[in-house]
Amino acid sequence: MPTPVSIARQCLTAEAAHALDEAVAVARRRGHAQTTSLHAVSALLSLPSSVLREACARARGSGPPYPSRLQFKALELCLSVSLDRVPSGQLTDDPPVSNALMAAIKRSQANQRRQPENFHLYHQLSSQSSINNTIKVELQQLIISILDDPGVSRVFGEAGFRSSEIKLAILRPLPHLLRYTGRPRGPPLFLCSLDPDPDPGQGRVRFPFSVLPGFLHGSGDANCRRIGEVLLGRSGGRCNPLLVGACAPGALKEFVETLGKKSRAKPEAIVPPELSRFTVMDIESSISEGSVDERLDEAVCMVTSQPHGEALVVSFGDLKSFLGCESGNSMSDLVISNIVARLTRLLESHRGKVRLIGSAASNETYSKFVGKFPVVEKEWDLQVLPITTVRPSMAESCPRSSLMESFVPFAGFFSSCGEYNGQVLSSSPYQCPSQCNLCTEKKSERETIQISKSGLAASVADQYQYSLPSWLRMTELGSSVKAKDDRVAMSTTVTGLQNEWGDKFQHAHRGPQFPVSNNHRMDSQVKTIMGFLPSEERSERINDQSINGARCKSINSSLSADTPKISRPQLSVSLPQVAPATDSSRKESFLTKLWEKSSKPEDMDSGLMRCGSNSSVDDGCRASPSSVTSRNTNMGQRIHSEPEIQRLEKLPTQTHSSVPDISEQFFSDDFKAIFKDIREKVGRQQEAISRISQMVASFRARNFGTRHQMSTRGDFWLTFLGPDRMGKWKVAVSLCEILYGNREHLIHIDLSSLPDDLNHRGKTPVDIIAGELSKKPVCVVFLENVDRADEQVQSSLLQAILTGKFSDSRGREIGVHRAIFVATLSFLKSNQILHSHELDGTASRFSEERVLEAKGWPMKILVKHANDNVINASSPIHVNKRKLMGLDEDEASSETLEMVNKRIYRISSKDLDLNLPAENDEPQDSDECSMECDVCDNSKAWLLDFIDRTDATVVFKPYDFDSLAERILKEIRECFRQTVGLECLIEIEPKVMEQLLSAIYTSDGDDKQLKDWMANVLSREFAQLQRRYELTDRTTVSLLACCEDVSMEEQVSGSCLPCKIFVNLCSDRDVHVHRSLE
Amino acid sequence: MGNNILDALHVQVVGSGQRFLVFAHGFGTDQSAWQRILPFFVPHYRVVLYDLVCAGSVNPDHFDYRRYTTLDAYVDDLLTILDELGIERCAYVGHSVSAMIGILAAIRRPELFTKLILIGASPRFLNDRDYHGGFEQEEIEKVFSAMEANYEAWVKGYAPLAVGADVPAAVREFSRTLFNMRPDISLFVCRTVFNSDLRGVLGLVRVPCCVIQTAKDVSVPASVAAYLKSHLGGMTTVEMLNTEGHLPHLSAPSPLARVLQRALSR
Repeated sequence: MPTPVSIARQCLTAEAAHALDEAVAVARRRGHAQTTSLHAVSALLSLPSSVLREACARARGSGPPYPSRLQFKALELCLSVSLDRVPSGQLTDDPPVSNALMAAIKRSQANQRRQPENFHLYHQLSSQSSINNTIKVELQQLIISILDDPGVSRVFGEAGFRSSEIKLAILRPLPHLLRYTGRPRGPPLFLCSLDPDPDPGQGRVRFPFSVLPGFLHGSGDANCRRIGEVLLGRSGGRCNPLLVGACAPGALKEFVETLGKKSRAKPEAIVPPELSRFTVMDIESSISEGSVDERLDEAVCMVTSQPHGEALVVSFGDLKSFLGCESGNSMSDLVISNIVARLTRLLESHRGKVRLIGSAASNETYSKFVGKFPVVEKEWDLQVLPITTVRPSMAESCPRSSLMESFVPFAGFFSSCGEYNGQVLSSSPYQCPSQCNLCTEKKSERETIQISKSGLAASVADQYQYSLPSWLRMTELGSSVKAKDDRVAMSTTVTGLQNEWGDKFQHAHRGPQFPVSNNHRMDSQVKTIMGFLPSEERSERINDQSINGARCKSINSSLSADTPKISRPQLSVSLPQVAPATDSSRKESFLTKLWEKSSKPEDMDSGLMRCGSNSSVDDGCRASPSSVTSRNTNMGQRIHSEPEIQRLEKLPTQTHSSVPDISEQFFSDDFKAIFKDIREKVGRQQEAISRISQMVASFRARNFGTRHQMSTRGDFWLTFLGPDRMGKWKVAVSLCEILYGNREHLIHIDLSSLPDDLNHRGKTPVDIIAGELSKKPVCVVFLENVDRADEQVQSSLLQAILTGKFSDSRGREIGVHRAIFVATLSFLKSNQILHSHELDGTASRFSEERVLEAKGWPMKILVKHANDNVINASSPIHVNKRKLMGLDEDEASSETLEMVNKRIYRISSKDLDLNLPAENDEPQDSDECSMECDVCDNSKAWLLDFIDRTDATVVFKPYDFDSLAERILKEIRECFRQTVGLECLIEIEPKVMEQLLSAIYTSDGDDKQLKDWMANVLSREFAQLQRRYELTDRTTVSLLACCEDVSMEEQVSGSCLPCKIFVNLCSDRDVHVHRSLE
Repeated sequence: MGNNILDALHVQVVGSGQRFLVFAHGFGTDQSAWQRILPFFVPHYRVVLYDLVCAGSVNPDHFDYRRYTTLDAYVDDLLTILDELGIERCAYVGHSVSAMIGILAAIRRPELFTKLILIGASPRFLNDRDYHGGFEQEEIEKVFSAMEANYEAWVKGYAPLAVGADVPAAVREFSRTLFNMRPDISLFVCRTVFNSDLRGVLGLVRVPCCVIQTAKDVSVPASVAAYLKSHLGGMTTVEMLNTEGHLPHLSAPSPLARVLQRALSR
């Protein structure tokens, strides 16, 4: 049943409907009853600007080699013959549309709906109004469907055309257009026949559009981008780029020019756009003249006048001008070092607001420079950036033929749609996207809406992609065009263009369907780019948690969707959960200021004094003749005498913050988080931890700031002074866990006893450190007993702290700018004198060394009756006779006694120390003696120098073994009283006490283990004791260690507490009596 | 998203050893070029294979003309792959352009590489005042216009030249992979390579290197190997391979494998 024309028309766009009208007119003229596909073809061919005709002309290439005019004649003939065969019927005004033609319309409708690009639109439309026939068939689709009609294809076949080729020609007009441009060489081979792509919807001519801008200026842009990434601190290293490579000077010049042009040109001309806040000043020429003073004064003026957040980039040009006469330069070394010093000062005094940039044509120049000024590389915070691509503008010197010209045909094509001609061929790389901007923006807007509506997973990626740069650009003009977005948008444009190229291009820019139609492609494109971009993102993600944490924050707040990338547990560590109140953050900024003051080199000493003065061992410091200025002590006490964070919060908040809000906030959160974490893990040394957390937090805040504007070094040096080796170790471990999420990034090297495993055998200490560092460049290096470092290690460490490079024994250097060094010393430092912590007058009865050395001896209980009566009890079953005898031998007991005596002597002499002046003090321990001698003789100067150069020094308090020992004794008494019920005298041998202390000391400070031991083992033994022996009030129960070769008993899981105690009755004398009785 | 690059560049990890060994192919080939070398290493190493984004086997849509304008973008890809795979230390074998990529990667992340083995490597292909890279600018331009005029013909002419040795199978294989590259991409990569100049940065390499040079290489004169040895910053050895051609892994796999094994064991 034929369909009325009016209904058919509803399914067509205006253009297609017009074609249908023409077809109907043809049918009417011929007096046919229905309008068939043949009529439609006839009408389509006779239309003034016939798409079909054009396509036929293009497709003709593969047909017989007739002149085109003849072939068209043949087509017309065949068509009219076929039309003549159509039966005529009764005349109507509008011959209704035949079933075949209607079917073709329906097919094209369905086809259009199926097109992936259109899916969303129609999906949406159909959900809005369930009328399917709102889909307007476009002329192109209609023609294709009509060509599918067997009758039509027969007609075309008779005329020597293949309808399939015509279809292809309609869908892919471009390759065939080449024919008309009069190119002598013919189309590039690859455009036509290589791609066996079966889907005609996929355009295959994408590259010319992406080639042209990228190719002409791409590598220049790439260089600029990489320089920019270093300047913005995104490369994970230092922030002042030094370009190295044969093409580096050219790249530098180009970069400087680009930045210099910025003020005049539009901001989007710069890549990446964040760079627009940098101003550049080139002082290369004045350096080669040898007078930089004027220019640098000018620079200082600029820096002080520039608005907050902007920075001045000083380009010092080629490094070879610093090499003096070696490079044939006439400048004297004095002038050069003066220039270097001035630049250093400029950088120091305006940290964060001044950047340096320079170039070196080759690595040799660079290494000569570093050899001449070894410290400068670190002071200037130089990041070596290899530049390997010759600037493409050199292409001007080489004939610019090749690829470009092969695309001249497109130029011919562009000229047909005039407005785009200029763009694509214009020489500015980013002009194209910027001019396309209008439509691009519109598109991306629509797309975002589209995508989020359709709820694709990709939308997250999409928004993520967009939100990242936009956050980073927070401080800037929101309207500036972004490089990344450009990239995305550009590729969208390109794919869009491919899809819809042809005759629809201009239409597309007006028509509403266009942006929608490349939804799918857009998604995939975004994904692709995401996939290939992540290297920089990832490096940031892994290495700079701080920035990432902050980023995540912003993303989390701006995005409700959760991105899997973000929810890494590692990050959550550094992510402060709660937004703190404003006044607390202000307070923290006060702390930052304090800290920044103390971190300045000239303040280092006072900083040191501060820690010295507030550690609990005050006596030593006070006794020392140095005068501590009241200001320093005040400040120090204000910070450190209130170790609890809660109390810290009460600090006065009078200072106005100079640090940007975000980093301030970050710092405060960070400080609290770090402090809490370490305190939980270590459980003591509150003051030291508080100071360390401040240091680390402000270090991270600084680094965090780097991403914005401040410049900083990546490496960080801490010195832990004083006793409590376990405490230091635990702090280092928890620091590592906080910063990097696990312990694997901790390098532990004890310089007093180097590991002797297979991997390290035969290696010098410096090589061991270097080896570990090269394996884990991002790490916490825990160097114990730096005072024991040999000369090699000393010089390497000093070099590392100065230049940021640690060299091994063969002189190979390893960058340490991402490591945190923790050096420990068991000495205290005051007034440039190092002294052992035991000399400060608070010597305890139990020295840390002995406790750490305590072994898990088996224990025994000796029961002694005060009235000297021998209690004749059978010896315990599990103690065999021989052992008893062995124990009873004189020498053994005398040995024990001697030990005890020695201890007593030692302790008493310690007590004596209090009354003696420090100089006359006679070191008891030969070990300590040698250590101090070493310090005095060889490395004292080095050690002092080293400590002075570290970023911070933290003093640890001695662990209070005495009170702990008292507590243990009390607890044991209590335990005895509870099990036995008597108040006996209980003695504990020092060795046993050391053992017990060590159990607590090494097990994270909690005494659960010891309590368990007392509850299970000791009370059991006490109970046995009571059962076997008659215990009275006057009995003395001693706990001794069996030092002889009693086989080591199994111990309570890994500690030095035995799970059995030998019970022995009698004292030495008693035993003799006992034996004589036998 | 993260796995995208692994899929897109057909990253494969094969073999059963402890240590990682990366094989990176050069211009005009893809990872299949290593197939005759692989059997020597699979038992002892975990071998990582991947395609450069410009390889014919990779979907050309991934080749972004604005991104791959310098070798650094390729370096990014390599480092991303190694990071995705969680590799912390590996030895690296790179041929032609991949040798350059390896050098740059080792400058950027020295801790990642135990050793670089560079086959047919050149820091700069063009001649300079005191440097003989093997090509003059005019010659290069001629090559480019030949490529552009008729890629197929150029491939047919270049492949036997590059392979050098009289090994028809190798010529066939190289022609296949070279012709698989889309000509515009191929041309673009060529330009990128010829625009690169690594001479200034060689000293920044600290990783020990081994330069493998064949007796006669149409792209790399023997003097370049000497130049590399004297300028690379790490410990560098040069191995001369007694065969001809730019693609010893295709034309003389077993001698090359022996040299590789020796270089890796040092």
